[in-house]
Amino acid sequence: MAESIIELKEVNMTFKRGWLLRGAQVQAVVKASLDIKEGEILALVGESGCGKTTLGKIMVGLLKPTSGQVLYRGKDIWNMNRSEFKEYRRNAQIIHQDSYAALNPVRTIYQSLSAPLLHYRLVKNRREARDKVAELLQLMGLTPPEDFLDKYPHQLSGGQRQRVVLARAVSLRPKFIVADEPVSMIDVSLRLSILDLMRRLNEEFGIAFLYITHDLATARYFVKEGRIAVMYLGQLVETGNLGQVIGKPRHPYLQALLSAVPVPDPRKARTKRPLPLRSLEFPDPTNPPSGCRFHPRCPYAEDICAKEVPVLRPLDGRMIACHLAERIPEWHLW
Amino acid sequence: MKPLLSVRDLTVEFELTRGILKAVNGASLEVHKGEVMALVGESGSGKTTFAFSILNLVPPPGRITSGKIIFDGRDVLSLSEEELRKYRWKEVAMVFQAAQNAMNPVMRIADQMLDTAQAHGKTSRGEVLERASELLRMVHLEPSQVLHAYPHELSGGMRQRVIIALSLLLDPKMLILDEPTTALDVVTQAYILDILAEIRQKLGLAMLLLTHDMSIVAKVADRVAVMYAGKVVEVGNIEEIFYDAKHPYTVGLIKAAPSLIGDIADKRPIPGSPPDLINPPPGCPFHPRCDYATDRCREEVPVLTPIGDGRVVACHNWQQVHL
Ligand SMILES: Nc1ncnc2c1ncn2[C@@H]1O[C@H](COP(=O)(O)OP(=O)(O)O)[C@@H](O)[C@H]1O
Ligand code: SF4
Ligand code: SF4
Ligand SMILES: [Mg+2]
Repeated sequence: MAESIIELKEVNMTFKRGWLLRGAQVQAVVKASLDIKEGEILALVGESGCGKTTLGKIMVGLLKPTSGQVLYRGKDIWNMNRSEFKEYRRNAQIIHQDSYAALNPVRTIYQSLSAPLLHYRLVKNRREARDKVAELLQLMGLTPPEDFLDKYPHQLSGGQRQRVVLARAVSLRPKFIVADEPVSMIDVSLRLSILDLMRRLNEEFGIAFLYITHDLATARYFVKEGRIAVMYLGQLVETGNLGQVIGKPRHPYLQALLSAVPVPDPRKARTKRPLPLRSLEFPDPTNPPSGCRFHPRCPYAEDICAKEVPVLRPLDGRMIACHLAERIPEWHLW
Repeated sequence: MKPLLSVRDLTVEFELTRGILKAVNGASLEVHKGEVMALVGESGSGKTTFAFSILNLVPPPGRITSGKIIFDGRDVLSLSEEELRKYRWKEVAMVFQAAQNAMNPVMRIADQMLDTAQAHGKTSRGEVLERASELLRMVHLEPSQVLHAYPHELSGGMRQRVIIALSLLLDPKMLILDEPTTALDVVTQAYILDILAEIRQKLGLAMLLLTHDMSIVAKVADRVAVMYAGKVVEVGNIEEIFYDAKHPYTVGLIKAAPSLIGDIADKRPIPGSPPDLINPPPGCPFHPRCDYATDRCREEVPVLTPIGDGRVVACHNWQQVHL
């Protein structure tokens, strides 16, 4: 079994709501425990506003959790000395959905990509930097590199820009990349090519990926035999091998989600059985329900569900956070 | 049977500093009474501009430079302002993209309904609210809870359903929906698509659904028109498109649509990127990305041609194409 590269232990993240001094608090992440092994691919799936991005930022040290631990190769990142922390930050990179916002619009691609190389002294001089950047562009499928080196971000398509952003993350030779909705702003015909590229970076360089998405179908495409973690309003509700989890979902929220996801096949799409929920309204994430946050919508909820927060525990070869897990009936999507 | 809507060789140009951009470039399409037609294509393929043209509502600097649009026997592009005002909403209504976030925030839902009806000459408050209530129930909303609410008091999914009800207030013969579920969560999206199917059953109106998502098409459409670089490149019924596509781009879209089921190894991206519409490639605009391209494709623009069973395709080599 490979070693963990990143491990979250009972991480809580609370934000102040608004800027009022005595304003209410919002718990964006509740007792999240999750680990990612060296070279692993894991998808973190949930609706927008459920806390996925917050969790991703916590994993790369951009946010400090209110409580709980974040371990990088077994070491608490918030107890590291300066040089250890700097080394960790170089090893744990993050890319976002908006590639345009990620790049400085008045810098050429060469300038954007060479700056971190020079900063971390991964190259000796500008001559070497230019060669290195060209090599990176080649690796990212931006060929010939000379066509891209001196361009500005607005001169590239969304897919090309996202490749540049990935090149910058990879240039620091990280061990782990959080990719937060990297394809949701990209043309549908090109989405798979970005996922293929990330897959190749994983296979060739052993970079572990956390793929954050609201889209179960792209998660399945990217993760293949890997793992998935499903999140609902700040709580991890089910984690495990992707094939197993989506083939036989156990958590009521995951059952509902899977039964609602459309499939690009008309005969299958029209015979799918949606799981009836008690309420279709997605609660206000800034004012979440008590206990199991799914309880106002869950068709199986009982008294305990509103009172106590369920934690992930093993069941049926995966981890699931549901008080009544053993009693939840299977839901056949067809 | 005469189509409800017939668009012929429509071209819409935007004059920009960089040059002339043909957002719609000789596109043709027919929609029949009571059918759900999906118009599918990547962002920038011209779907929204095409839909705006049907309402003769292309925003400047855009201009319809050629083509004919016939709706229910009437020539839309030669209607007077007064006739257009009646045509929009009464004949064809549109749910604009992200409309649920653009509602008038200081007007209660009831007043938005009354306002719309009044602008079209329906003045009886009682009758309008009666019809509004019926329509709200049709989108699974409780009128007594919704009519007196302000938009911000409703969730995104509820607002979108209110907008759908509002668009139906004047009993249009066709409803255009531009990416109606893109901003919504998956469960709400499925629910709204089911509601649209129910409405179609009850009211028998035609729908033109604009989307980039093949999964949504699979769930709701009767027929499908595929758009690329401002042109309609293939039209067929839902089964023909998904199980026997004849245009290489349609095949590409289906293979590039990830799914919860089926073999992942069958999925792959379309190579290259969508064209620059100011300097589109010569010949078939898809040729730089096409596996089937031949010399002819680089020179001669393929035109939309009937291939039997009411299907049309714009490809020189469609007979060689298989899913
Ligand atoms: N108001 C406008 N000004 C300039 N260009 C526009 C305008 N509206 C649309 N376009 C351009 O027209 C093309 C087609 O756009 P659109 O009709 O919105 O496609 P879709 O709805 O399929 O995404 C795009 O290249 C877009 O940038
Ligand atoms: S804990 Fe209760 S409310 Fe939550 S998913 Fe399980 S049964 Fe439903
Ligand atoms: S006309 Fe030629 S390039 Fe265009 S889609 Fe057909 S085969 Fe491909
Ligand atoms: Mg559009």
